[in-house]
Amino acid sequence: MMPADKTPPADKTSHADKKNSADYDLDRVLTALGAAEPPSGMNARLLAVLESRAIAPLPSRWQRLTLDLPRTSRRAAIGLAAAAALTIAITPLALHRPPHRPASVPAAISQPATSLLPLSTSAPIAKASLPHPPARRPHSGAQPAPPAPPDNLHAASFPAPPLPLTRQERLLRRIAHTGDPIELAMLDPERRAEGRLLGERDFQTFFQPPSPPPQPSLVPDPPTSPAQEPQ
Amino acid sequence: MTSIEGYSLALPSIETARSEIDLAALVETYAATLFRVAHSILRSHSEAEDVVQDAFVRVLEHRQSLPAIRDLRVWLIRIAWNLALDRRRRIRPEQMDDLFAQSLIARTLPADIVLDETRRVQSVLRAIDHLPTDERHVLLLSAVEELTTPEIATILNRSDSAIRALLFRARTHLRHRLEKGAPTP
Repeated sequence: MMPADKTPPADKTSHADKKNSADYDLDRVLTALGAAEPPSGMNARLLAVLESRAIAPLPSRWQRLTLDLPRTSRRAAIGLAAAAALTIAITPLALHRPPHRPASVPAAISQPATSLLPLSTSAPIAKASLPHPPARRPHSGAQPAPPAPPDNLHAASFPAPPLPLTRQERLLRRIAHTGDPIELAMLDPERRAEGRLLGERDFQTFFQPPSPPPQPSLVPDPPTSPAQEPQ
Repeated sequence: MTSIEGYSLALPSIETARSEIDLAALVETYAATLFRVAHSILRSHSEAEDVVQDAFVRVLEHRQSLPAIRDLRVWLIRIAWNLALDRRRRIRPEQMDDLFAQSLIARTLPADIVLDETRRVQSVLRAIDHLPTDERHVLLLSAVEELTTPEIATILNRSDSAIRALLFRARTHLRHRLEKGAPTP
């Protein structure tokens, strides 16, 4: 850095001029910014506006909150509120929507499990899996009031819980677990048919009926000595 | 009922009679100060007047709590300052620079001098805009003659010494920048 005493006088002068000029410009601008006079009639306009505002009802807290926001923030807030309302409206419909089922499949085919179950256990499940009524009906003049929706309209659409085994199923499971060859073989229908035929044959062989004895004639024998009947 | 310049304020309820008197007096007393505070940052007469109007509308909305406010003057200036800052985000004060610079320069001067003066004023305004936010705020509020350092400290929620330090730094930075030349926008 150049020492102050070695600075050329011309540079000193220009530096001081610059500094003075900068200070002058700065003070001039700041004074103009901070000492601006309000336009004429501003107080009258203000009081007119305040009078109209005082007569009009004050905005509610929500309106004040929205008016305080800048325009872009207000739009964003309105958009967010609309999105939240839409989400709240859609969520229950999405949660309770029935499972997708082709329209051509009859309902009886689509519910095979319920028809095999005992009546006592299948009744509530069948009731729960009833198809929902159509959302829109064709308009046909004056119609009676639509029937009240069933109570299980909003029943959850999760799979049915596992049902208890039937008696036949329990027997099959016991046979499979014990592994008795005779019982296992009896499960095969061909072998079972063969066994039945074999038993019948043995029965026939053992209890073969005897040859039938010669049956006596029921016609009386002619007399041994021919006798002339008197005429 | 109070009447100023032919206008009267008719507030709805009786319990706001004190606020009725205060509101009309407040406009007469503080409107010019609020206008200068807003103008220091917005550089536009119309925008500053809108800010003053918004500030008094806020006062009208909170007229029930006016008696509880300790320093009404600082409270009003703070409202106007915050409203002006909010409005500054939406407008571009640089657009007002030409008009503001022309208002500072005498029209009787020759055209070349007017052009040079306009350029210098604009360079000062740009240098102010390039200051750090705290320094710029302190500098602009200190330009309003009615405001004291404790009042600026209350408005900006700073200590007096911090305000003085920020003001010193702001002027130093500005002087250096103006000596080096106008910053590129």
